[in-house]
Amino acid sequence: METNFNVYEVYKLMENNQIQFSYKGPITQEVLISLGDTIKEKLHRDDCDVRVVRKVFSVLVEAAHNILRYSSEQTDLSHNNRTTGIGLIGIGKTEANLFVIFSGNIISQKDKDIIEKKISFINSLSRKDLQESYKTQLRKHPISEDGSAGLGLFEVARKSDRPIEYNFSQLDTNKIFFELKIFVQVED
Amino acid sequence: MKNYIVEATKYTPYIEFDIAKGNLKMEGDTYPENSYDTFKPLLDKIDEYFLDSIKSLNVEINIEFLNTSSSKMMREIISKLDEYFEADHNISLKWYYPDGDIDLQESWEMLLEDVLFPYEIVAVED
Repeated sequence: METNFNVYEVYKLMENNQIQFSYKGPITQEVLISLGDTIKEKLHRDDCDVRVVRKVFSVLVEAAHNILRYSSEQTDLSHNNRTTGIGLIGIGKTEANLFVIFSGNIISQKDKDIIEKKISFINSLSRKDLQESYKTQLRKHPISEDGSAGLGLFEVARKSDRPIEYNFSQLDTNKIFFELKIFVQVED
Repeated sequence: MKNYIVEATKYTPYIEFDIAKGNLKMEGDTYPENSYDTFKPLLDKIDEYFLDSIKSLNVEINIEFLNTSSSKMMREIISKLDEYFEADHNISLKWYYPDGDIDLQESWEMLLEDVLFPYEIVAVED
């Protein structure tokens, strides 16, 4: 029996959107490391500036950690008693000199309200105020025991050369698909 | 008190705390999901080290990449060292970065700018 699922459609969609690669599934530290290594290796091979490589990698790390921590779709890990978040993450090149790092995952209504408020605050800040807010945040509040610093979105905004692009798609009463796009410019 | 040594992993740094010499060294990238687990034991060792008498501590850091969770813990370590410095212990710190890398130089300056103990941000040539 043939299924309706068409792999070529997925391939074409990614190809047409200049996506270099993308992963959907449980985001673990191991997945992050191999994605990170692959991206770094590719960018170095393309003679990308070390500062751009670091920016792209930094955004990838924060985006991945956001998913594994906050995605409301969680899966058990076999090697310990913890769970990890499921989501989509990837990198593309929308224009010759512009990388986009994107992520998508399901969140709750409560998290949507928090994230939306936070991103619109961050996007309203000037470069200088963003830097100041980051500094203050870094010095404020002791870190929580789960290691959350509350700084991830501030950090991606600092690394981004454009305002953070984001979107929420309501799937159900308490199920929202949250997508995030961060742009990093390649300097000539 | 015994020396405290933690081998590096792909995403956590090498840590070497030499108690007799009063040297603390950290090297490598750090981007664990939970940096509290990575650095809390070191924070406890620092408290233990300064517990009974006036001490000296030289810190050398050669880290190029920190995620936000690790930056936060690094800041907690730095604040702790500042408290001990104010309590008359001798503290000094050197943070190394590749010469010419303005982004890193600025990051470490931002992390350290308001501390009281003497520190240097040192450019290393290739």
